[in-house]
Amino acid sequence: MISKTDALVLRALDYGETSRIVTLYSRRFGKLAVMARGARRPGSRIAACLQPLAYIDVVLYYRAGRELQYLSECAFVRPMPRWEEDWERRACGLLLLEWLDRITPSGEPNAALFNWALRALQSLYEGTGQARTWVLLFLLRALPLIGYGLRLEREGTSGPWAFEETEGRLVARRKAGARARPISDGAIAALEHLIEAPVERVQHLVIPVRLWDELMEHVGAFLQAHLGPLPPVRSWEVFQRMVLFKAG
Amino acid sequence: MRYTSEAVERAILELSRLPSIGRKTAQRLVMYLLKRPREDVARLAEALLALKDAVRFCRICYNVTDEDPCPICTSPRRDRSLICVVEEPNDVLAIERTHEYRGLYHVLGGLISPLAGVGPDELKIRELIARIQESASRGEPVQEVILALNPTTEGDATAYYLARLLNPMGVRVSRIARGIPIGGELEFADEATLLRALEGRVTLS
Ligand SMILES: [Zn+2]
Repeated sequence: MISKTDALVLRALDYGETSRIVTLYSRRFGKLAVMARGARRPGSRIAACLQPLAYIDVVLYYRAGRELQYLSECAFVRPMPRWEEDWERRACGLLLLEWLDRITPSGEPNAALFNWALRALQSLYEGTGQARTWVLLFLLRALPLIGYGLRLEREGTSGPWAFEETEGRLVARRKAGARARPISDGAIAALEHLIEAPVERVQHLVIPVRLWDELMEHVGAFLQAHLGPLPPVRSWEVFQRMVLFKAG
Repeated sequence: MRYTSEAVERAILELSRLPSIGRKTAQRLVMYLLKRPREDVARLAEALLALKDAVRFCRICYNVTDEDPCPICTSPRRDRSLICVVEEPNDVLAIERTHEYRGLYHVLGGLISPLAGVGPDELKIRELIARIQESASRGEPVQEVILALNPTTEGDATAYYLARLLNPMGVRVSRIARGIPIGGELEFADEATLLRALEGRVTLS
């Protein structure tokens, strides 16, 4: 069956001499793997569309239940971001994409999540708001869309607090077990703000690097507790190494 | 399904480690090899081992070569003020086919690819910088570095990263023009396109 949908390219892998297999997150079919035959042949116009971060319209030969679908045509809905030297935004764009990949099961369409991912990436492309903040904002507001909203209820009357990732709640540290994750007051305030405040405002929130690291750890732990072990995020570490790289 | 022969399973496992070869393809290859005469398989095995034993990487440009340094690096007819940076040895072949480029090369061995976990340390970037510094101290400084990297997201990221490292060293950094279709690969470009791309290169600063 010939089917059309728009999609984000999550991953691309060269296959054989001239083909490429891409993993798409599509509006109509959710996440799916697509074979693009001849995509790398000279003169082929489709290779440019089949790179991570591309937002494209695709025409597929789609058959339900098949592991690999086949690509007929594709075109950019929006041109690739030209981030050149803006490593922060480039890194955050890829990080967001990796997380989107990790939290989405194959073959389950989710229009709300798709639109939210588009909006988050669009804000990164346009440079609206803080890049790192957008990664957290995307994740925290994606949670309710995949059925795991983080409510951050408190058990106990006063801190210091621990974060219970299985329940997604705060427990007074002296009551929490030895395995509970300590969470700073700054992190609690930032989480509450990121979960509840209007996006237009909270996107401009400047989060210091150490706090951002802490928040990503908590959110990561919460997701692992609900989705099971997730593959490691690779792009972020590479960007850290690029920034720290000393040639001499 | 697993085969009852340990040797068959091992061959399938090793072959399926190769890029773009899945278990099914590996099974087909193994079944094919099983039917070939022993000499044929021995020739293949020898050719594969020779890859590791005989072929070396040039200590200057990291191209594949039988002699180290490679004939391009030692040639007196080459322009030593010019280095063309490419992703893979195949790209050197593609540019050599134009018969126009007279400078030297530097093979990175890949592109910066955050999603695949490949950063600057995995590539021959440190070696490129050292080479340029050394050329200056020898009194035949490199004047221009041409980045002949595929026009993909990864090629872009690598090009801008290199430009940022090289510009402060007082070297002109240029990138071959976008004659190569975006997302396309140098390796597949015809000579005329590649030549136009080399001539129309633009300075990055
Ligand atoms: Zn050499």
